[in-house]
Amino acid sequence: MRIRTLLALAGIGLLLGGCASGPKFTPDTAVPSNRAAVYVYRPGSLGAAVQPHVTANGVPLAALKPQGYFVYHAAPGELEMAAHTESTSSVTLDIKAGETYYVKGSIGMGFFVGHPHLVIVSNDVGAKEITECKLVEGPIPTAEDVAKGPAPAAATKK
Amino acid sequence: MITSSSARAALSAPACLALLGCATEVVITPQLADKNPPTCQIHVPVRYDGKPDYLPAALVNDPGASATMAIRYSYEAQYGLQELSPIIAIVNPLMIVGFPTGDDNLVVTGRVDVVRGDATLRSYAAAAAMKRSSTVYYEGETFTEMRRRGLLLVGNNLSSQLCNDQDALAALLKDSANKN
Repeated sequence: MRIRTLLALAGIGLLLGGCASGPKFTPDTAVPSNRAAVYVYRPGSLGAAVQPHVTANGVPLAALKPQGYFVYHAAPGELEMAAHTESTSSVTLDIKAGETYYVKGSIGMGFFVGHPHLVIVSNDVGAKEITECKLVEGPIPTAEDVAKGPAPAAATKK
Repeated sequence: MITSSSARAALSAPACLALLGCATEVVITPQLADKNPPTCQIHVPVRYDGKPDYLPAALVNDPGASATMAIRYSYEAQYGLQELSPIIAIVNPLMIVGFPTGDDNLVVTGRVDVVRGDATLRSYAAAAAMKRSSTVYYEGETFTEMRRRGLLLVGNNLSSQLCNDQDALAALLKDSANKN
């Protein structure tokens, strides 16, 4: 009985430890006028242990943590947001300066690992669902960083 | 040497075949009567600021072709459409019944407007609705892939419409040149 209790507590601890721990959602008021705000959020906890990185045009932004969100200031033009485990989910937005976009993430059933699902949702839906999420802490690359493209793979030393 | 990724690929392929329904369902409107539509090139000032790949191939940007007329091309991609965009009703109201809706669908609409100043003289529109199928073994196309495919299909459809109507367009351009 004690072992089972300890295991259950350990499991809960692992789950909670993986969730976003920053402050609760507040709208970003510091978006430059020549950029758009792209909120990426994951409202559920299903598949909590699976936390793939979300990329913008191939550049990693932040992990898709359960009940977490982050905001990326995107430059106008096409923007591909993707997440990858054993499968890849990808959406492309036509970014216009001054606009706000919401990309909702979740983890679904997979064969070996849960599959990420990214969908673009309307502002009404996104603004409502994101309020339960907490900020995923850590620096988010800027649009200038993303424009440079993904970092080349490190050369192996002989 | 068998790797984990090749093992997964080997498992997913027969599973996909066995389950079928892995292909994305595509509905395009308007449906063209001619299975081999004519091709043409229409030289005209084009107002468009998107990717060149998605501009209908029949349109060739030629700023000197007309002083008063231009063609404006715009498109829109809507994800998880629960209600059909009004532009689809403009394209073909009869097709509304067959269009898939829901979280796994994507609707791409494209519109070509022939404009003189602020007036729109003629419009053409096309729409492609796609619904993806996925299983635990295979997620199907990504929305990015579906969007690109939809934009190319819409562009081709609009090119065909423009080429089918090129005599009328030529008359409009000629009329515009005479008025100058």
